[in-house]
Amino acid sequence: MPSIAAVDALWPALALSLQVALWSCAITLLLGGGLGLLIARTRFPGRELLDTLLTLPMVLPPTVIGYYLLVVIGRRGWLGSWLDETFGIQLVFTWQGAVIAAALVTFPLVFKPARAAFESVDTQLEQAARTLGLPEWAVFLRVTLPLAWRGIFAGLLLSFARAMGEFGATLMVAGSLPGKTQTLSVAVYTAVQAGDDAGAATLALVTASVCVAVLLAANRLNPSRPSAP
Amino acid sequence: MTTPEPLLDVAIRKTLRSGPRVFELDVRIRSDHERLVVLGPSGAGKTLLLQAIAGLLPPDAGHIRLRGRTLFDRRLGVCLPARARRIGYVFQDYALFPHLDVRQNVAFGLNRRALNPRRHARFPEVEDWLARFGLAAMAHQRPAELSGGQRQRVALARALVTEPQALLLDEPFAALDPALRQDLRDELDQLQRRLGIPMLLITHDPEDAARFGETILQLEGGRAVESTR
Repeated sequence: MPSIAAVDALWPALALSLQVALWSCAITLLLGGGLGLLIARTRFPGRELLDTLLTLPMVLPPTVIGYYLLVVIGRRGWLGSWLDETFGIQLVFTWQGAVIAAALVTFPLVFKPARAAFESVDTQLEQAARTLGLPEWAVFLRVTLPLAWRGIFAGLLLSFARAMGEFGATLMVAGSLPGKTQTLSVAVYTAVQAGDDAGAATLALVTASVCVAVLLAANRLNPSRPSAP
Repeated sequence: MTTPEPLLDVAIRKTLRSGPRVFELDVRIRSDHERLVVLGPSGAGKTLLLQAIAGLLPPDAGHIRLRGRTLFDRRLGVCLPARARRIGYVFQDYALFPHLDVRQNVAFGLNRRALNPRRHARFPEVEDWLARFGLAAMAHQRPAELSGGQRQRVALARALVTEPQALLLDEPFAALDPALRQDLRDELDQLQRRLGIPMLLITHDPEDAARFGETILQLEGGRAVESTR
């Protein structure tokens, strides 16, 4: 039987993980989608360098990302101290801090497929829409986005699954305050540290199940997979 | 001294650079005929000319006037966007929207709102064109399921349903097998006579020129080398 402590931690941790992952997805959708569109559709010097920098979170260890985040948004960080002094906002050891950590780590998972998806849209289709009288924003909503959304959405689901499992950067930025910043993956670590093997097993099983469900959904939406009739 | 405005009056220059290669398009057309054919080998700049007239490629200098309406005039600083030119454009490989069915494709230009026409929406002018082109039976099919000839009819219907002031056709018969080509030439011939719509067709096929060319312009290396009436 899992310990009482682990079971008590399960629901708040699952709820918090979902909350963090959903907010992180919203951020990566906007930023990753927007920057993917920018890189796919514009030509400017340093474009490929920017692409490389934006992909960096995929290969950096999450602890390194967590460290840099502390440097920036930590209480003495250059952005963190300004936020604290001006608005009284503190991000470290809050669930919002966990969202920022998860969004940064998972950003490339949306940005990369979004760039590829926007690049794969035939520009001639957009030109056809223009000759048919559509303003630019309508061309985007009615041609570009419907043709690119599958790729973006598959990336978004991956980023959701990854955000659910985010550990390193989250622990460094948000810590492990039960009910406040302790996500599922952090709770697993805490349970193992406390010698609560059964509790860790339960928490791990729940985490894995959620991630499997999301990956199955992502596979169904994979653009390279022939679509169902 | 007043000279009557010709139906189509084009005098444009456009320089395109791609690495070390430079291509210069320099074309003058004054035509009162409803049927104009620009004949030339591939790479002669035919498609660039069509794009310039349609508003998809801004020329460096010159003017474009259709029925006395100025679409582009460098000196006056006029450059109407493609959506405001009211020119129907049939692309070489038709550029049908792959995410929409035949009926939605034809109805595409009827509204300029944020959403595509719904699958079940019915517009009298769309139904009229579908019936006229024998497309009613496949109105719910996607473009990928159609034959080459059917695709061309959809592209024509999509352009004509918006009641354009002129019709531009980019190699309309190149993608079709020879037997079908002859049938569709007849079809386009009759259609143009019935509608009386000015038509500019670009082709590398002298047979198209013989059939449709009241005015024939020979284009080579970006320059009009010969014009016959």
